[in-house]
Amino acid sequence: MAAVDAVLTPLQLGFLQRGMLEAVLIGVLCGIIGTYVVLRRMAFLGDAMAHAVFPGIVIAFLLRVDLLLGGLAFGILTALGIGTVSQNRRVSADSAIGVLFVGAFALGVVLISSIRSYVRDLASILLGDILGVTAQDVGLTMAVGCLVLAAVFLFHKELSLVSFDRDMADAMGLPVAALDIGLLVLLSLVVIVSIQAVGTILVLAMLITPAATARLLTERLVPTMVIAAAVGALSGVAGLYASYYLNVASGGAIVLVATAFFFLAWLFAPRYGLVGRRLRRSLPGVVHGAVGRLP
Amino acid sequence: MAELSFLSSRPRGPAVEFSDVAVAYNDYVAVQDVTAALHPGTIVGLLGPNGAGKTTLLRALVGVLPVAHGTIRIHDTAPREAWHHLSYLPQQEEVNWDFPVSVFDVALMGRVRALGWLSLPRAEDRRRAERALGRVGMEDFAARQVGQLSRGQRQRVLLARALVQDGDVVILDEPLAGVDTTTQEAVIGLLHELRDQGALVLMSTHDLAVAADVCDQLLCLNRRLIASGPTRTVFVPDVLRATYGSTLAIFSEGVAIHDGRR
Repeated sequence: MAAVDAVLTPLQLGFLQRGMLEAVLIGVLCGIIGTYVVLRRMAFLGDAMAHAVFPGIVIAFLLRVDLLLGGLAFGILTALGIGTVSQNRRVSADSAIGVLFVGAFALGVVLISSIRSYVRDLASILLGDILGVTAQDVGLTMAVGCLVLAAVFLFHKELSLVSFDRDMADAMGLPVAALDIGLLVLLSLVVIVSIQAVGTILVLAMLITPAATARLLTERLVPTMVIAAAVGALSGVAGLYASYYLNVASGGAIVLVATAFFFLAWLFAPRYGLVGRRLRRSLPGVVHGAVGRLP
Repeated sequence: MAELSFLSSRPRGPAVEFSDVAVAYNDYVAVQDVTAALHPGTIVGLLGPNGAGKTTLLRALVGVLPVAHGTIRIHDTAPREAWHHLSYLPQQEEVNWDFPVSVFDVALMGRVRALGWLSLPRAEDRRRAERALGRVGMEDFAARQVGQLSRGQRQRVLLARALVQDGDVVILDEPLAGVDTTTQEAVIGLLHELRDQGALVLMSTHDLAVAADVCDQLLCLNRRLIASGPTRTVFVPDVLRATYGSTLAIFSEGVAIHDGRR
């Protein structure tokens, strides 16, 4: 009964209920969008996005307008800026990303330093405050979630073709640039709602770690998304419990749980884990037939 | 066969027309002075050394690159409006092979544009993908992740996807580069089938022996069009020397290219 109480007691607290719901929503969203970020090798761009939306959030905070709008505006501006700046062939795309995201982040720091409660506000944006989310925040995350799920589901075949073989998608006459920008807009929306929970610095982990974990467990796109979403949601819930009972920072605890999931998969994934591969190498005859042919 | 639906309305004129075409990347003109008309029911080989502009010209033809000068027409329409005429095999290096899709998924991707937005593949689309995999001998691999395949097998999967596109202008970028003998034979067999069904097949290749053997016509390219016409008139030492420069050695029994790779 003690174990059941330990699980149920925190759920009677309103702020923890909201925190749990928010953690599950963000885990699912980051897992799904993160799958594309990982498969298209956009980890650096994901990090850039997390930093680029920062000044937008600060400006929205200063002007008392919607944080989502401010962040989204800066996310899109930075995405377009990266495309424009890297038109100059002496500036590679990753240099352009590096220049613009740190530049945007510095703008955010300069702006926020003009506020008197500077240190506390900066810390809450950098590290997140999932236990401070309001019912309105949760509603916003739900709305973003519905939009992202609908877009990923409705444009599944186009997004997977453009991610697998961009040239072919282009040759077929699909609007590849619009699809790329659409994916970036979805990414920036997810990043913005996640920043409230886990902060600018840790949001990258929520995008990458669950999807990279799923990548070790399956060879199909939709199962990768489902597993990544499940790992993200589980990490959110387990991390919040850990944070409640050990009295440590919630964002950090969530990310640490996700990191633990990743290393479990890295070691023990049946086909691609370290242990599995070692076993197969030492017992080639036996396991080869059982697991199936491998290259 | 449902795949041959284009036969009933086969247009009469040239399938592809290049008129004084130049293609450039930024300020660098990769290829220019290309004028040629290619007709249905032929296999056309695109020859030239590395850096001659073969891939560039093919990418302009499928509408991925804009032309800097001149026009390209596919059945008298602009490349970007002619997607339904095209079957395309890009080079393998452009493809993200780690992407978690199966062989069957990739074949089915040939239907993405024909299906249109917001619609899911139906039983008929799945049958097309299965048939195409059968034609390239990959039906037993349908459930495999594409990244686990050999280079030759990957080539056959991409070819199956091109077949699923069901175009009558079949554009193949180096279909025989680095593939095993089984794949080479499968590809060449398919080229003949497609030609006999009335398609225009345009393929770039490094392999002069295959080009001489398989192609009805040749386009010889070296940053500009050097020669074009029936294989027997174009495949002669003078033209080949003009195309490949001093990298070409001509022996009594055949031809070899020295481009530093072999």
